[in-house]
Amino acid sequence: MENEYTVYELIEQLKADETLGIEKEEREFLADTIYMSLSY
Amino acid sequence: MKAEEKINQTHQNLLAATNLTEPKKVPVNIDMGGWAYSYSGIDYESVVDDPQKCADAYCKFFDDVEIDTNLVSSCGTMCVRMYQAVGSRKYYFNEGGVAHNQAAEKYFGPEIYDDVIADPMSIAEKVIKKDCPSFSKPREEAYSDLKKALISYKAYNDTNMLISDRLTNINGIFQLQTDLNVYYMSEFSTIFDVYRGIKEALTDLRRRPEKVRAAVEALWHANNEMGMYSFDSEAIKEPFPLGHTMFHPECFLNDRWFDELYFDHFMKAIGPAMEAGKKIFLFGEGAFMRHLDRFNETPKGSMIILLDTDDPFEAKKIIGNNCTIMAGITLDLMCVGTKNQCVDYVKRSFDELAPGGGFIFSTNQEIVSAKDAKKDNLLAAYNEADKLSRK
Repeated sequence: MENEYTVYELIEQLKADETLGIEKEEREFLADTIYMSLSY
Repeated sequence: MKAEEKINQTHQNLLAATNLTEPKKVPVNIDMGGWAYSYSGIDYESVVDDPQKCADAYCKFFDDVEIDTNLVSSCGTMCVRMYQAVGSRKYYFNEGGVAHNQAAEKYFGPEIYDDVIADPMSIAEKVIKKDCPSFSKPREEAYSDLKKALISYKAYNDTNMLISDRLTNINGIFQLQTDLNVYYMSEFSTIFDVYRGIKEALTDLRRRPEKVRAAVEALWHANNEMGMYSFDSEAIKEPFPLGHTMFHPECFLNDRWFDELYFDHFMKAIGPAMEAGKKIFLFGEGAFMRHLDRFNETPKGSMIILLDTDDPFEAKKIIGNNCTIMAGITLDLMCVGTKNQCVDYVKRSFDELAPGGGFIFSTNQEIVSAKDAKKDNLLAAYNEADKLSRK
């Protein structure tokens, strides 16, 4: 299946994505917060 | 008065009030949500992508009205753009602000209990996939949507930092941010709010109580294993920022379920922090007078309780010797009452709740949108509160 992935994998991909133009520490904070917000 | 000096004074007044002694000035709090944008005459959606304009619009109220503490630590709304980016309809722009689209909420069937019992940590993923259509798309498309969500969330976070900086350093407002390292929300609250919904969760207490109990225990153990209640022994000696708990489904529970689903775990989780000196804020939702006396078991002066629909004057009789009451003006009165009625209620609040300490003046709920309070009523109530707080 094309969409057999977890959202958490995408969150990890975001954290590592240097093309976003956001510093690593902030990227990790934002990504973790998004995952927490969407899961509630 | 300089901002730093005002914050230091408010800090001392908060300590005095919550230690159940009379402060030099009763702290005047507001739970300011999206109403701040209507006060500024700004449609929130029109500034949401510009952190500076958004922060300016939110903060104008605090430039005009004398306030000591603010309960909201964000820009007064949820990050609608983030939800929109991943296809969620949970929140939407409405009448100049933001509304929670509760009618669109979908929940799991009772089979979710077995999943929770088997692997509580796996449920977050199921919730996100249920609520966010983007994650039914192929990976690349889903990732593209998630990137948009992150960019939106960055603007939201930047706005919050601008607001926090301005309220602290310009307006001298002590922000009652909660310490999310000291936090307890009942496991049943998650079942009620996220997994099963109000009606089904409450029905489950009668039809499948053992499943509910087992799921609650599974969530409790998972949270403990993650170290959620293993607090830094030095940090919990500081009264502020406030630790946090809240009532959500608790107002619907009988005494037996209240203890089993909330109070016993609350005391196990948060009790050590209260004993060490941390002040705990209870965000109350609904009517919970019948459970209030349970908080007389907490260490004296450790709890600040925001009442919602309960009568604060009756509440003072029950917990006034042990806990601080946060009350003073209600949104329904500011919405449909007259200016005189609002001012009279504020006077009564100070007359009956302020003597002896243990009182923080506040709205009973977050002022979410323009219709929650008439501007003239709110200004009259807060002008009166400011005057009386200094006596």
